[in-house]
Amino acid sequence: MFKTKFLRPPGAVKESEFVKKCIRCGKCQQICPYNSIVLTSWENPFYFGLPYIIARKKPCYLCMKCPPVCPSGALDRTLVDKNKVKMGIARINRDTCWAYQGSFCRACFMNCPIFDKALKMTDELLPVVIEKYCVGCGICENVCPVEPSAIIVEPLKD
Amino acid sequence: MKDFFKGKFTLTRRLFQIGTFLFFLAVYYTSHKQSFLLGTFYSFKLGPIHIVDPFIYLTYLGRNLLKADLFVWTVTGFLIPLLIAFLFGRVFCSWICPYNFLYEILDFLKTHLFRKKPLIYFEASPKSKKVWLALALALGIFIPPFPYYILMPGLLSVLLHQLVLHLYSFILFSLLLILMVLFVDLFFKKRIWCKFICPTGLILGMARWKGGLRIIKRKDLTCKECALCSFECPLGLTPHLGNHLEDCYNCGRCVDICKGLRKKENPLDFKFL
Repeated sequence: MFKTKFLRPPGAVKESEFVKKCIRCGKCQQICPYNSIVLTSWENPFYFGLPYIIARKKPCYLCMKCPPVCPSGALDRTLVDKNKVKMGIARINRDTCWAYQGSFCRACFMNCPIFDKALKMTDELLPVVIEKYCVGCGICENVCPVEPSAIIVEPLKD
Repeated sequence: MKDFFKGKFTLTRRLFQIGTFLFFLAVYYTSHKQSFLLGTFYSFKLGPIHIVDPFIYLTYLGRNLLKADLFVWTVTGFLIPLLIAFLFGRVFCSWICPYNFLYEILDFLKTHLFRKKPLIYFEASPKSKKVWLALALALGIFIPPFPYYILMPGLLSVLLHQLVLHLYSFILFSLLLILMVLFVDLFFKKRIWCKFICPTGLILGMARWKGGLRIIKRKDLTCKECALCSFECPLGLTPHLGNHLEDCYNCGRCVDICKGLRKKENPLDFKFL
C-alpha cells in the first residue's frame, strides 16, 4: 500500500541506517539548486519528512552540494567525487526500450553524466548498463522518451 | 488589535516573532545561493555550526548509540540551546517559536472576538512531566518518525519551505497535523501543548538554572493583588502569588500588565543573576 523503495540523495548511507540517522532537517532539500529533493508525506507516513528523489520528475544532477550540509551523518559529508556516488542502479526494460525494438534512440547514453562508462552502446545501437560505474542519479530515467520510462533506477537494497 | 502589541516587552517580543518568520522566509528564498544560513527548527545551520533541537538530537543519539556520527559542530550546536535555556529560561518558546506565535494569535481572537470560556483545566505535576518526557524519548528512539509528528516549530518551518517550493502534498499532510494539535489545544485552559506535551519545551525547562533570567515579585513594593497578571498570563500561571514559576517562559506579559500602587513602582520585574 505504501511506497517503500526510495531513491535517496547522493552520499546516503544504507537504507536501514538512513532511516535512523536522518534528522529530517531539510537542509539537503534547501541547498539543492534543481529542487530535485522532496520530502515524504502521504507516500509513507512512517517515513514522514525523509528526503528522496523522484527521478522521472527531476533527477539528481550530481552537483554534490547536499552531502557537506548534512549535520547527522545520514549523507557522507566527505563525499565530493560524483563518480563514487552509489544511489541505485539503472535497469533497462528491453521489452519497451526503443533501441531494443529496432528504432534508433540513444537519449540515455547521450545524457549519462558518467559518459561512456556507466552506459555503453553495444555495436553503437543497444544501450547496456555497466553496474560497476552506474551511480543511480536517474538522469537516464528522466530523459527516456518512452512512457512509462524504459530505464528505471532501482534504489540500492541494504 | 492594540492589545496585541501593547507594552514594552510584548512589542519587542512581537517584533522578534514576526522577525523570525521573515528571517526564515529570506533563508528559504536565498537557500540556492548561499550555504551560510540553512535549515529549519529541527536543525539550523549557522556558518559551520549546526544548531539542533535537543529532543531531536537526544533521540538521534539513542537510536544510533555507538554508530552515531558525533560531528563536532553538531555537538556544539546541541549545547547552544541548552546554554541559552540555562541562562535565560525558555525564551525560545516565547520569543521565537512559531507555533507559540500562531497560538497566541488564535488565543487573542478567541478571547477578544468570540469570548468563549475555556473548557478543560489540566494540571500536571513535575514528576508526571518527567515520566512523559522519558516516554517521549523512548517513543522517539523506537519509532523514528514520532518526534516529527509532535514537534510543532520544526513542522511549521518545514511547511514554510514547502510553501516556497509549492510542494502541496506535504503541505496538506503537515497542515492536518498542526490543525489537529491546535484543535486539542483550544479545548484546554491555556496551552496544554506548550506546558506539558512539547518535549523540547520540557527539556529546555529542565535545563533552566534557578539563578537565570526569571520573573520575581519584589517584596519592597506593595502589590495591589489585582491579579491582572494572572488573567493575562498566556500560560495560565499566577505571578501575583509569586509562586510556581518553573513553567514560566519569560514572555514578560505580566511585567507589562502590572500596575503598582504608584507609578513606576510595579512589584513584578525581570531578574537576572
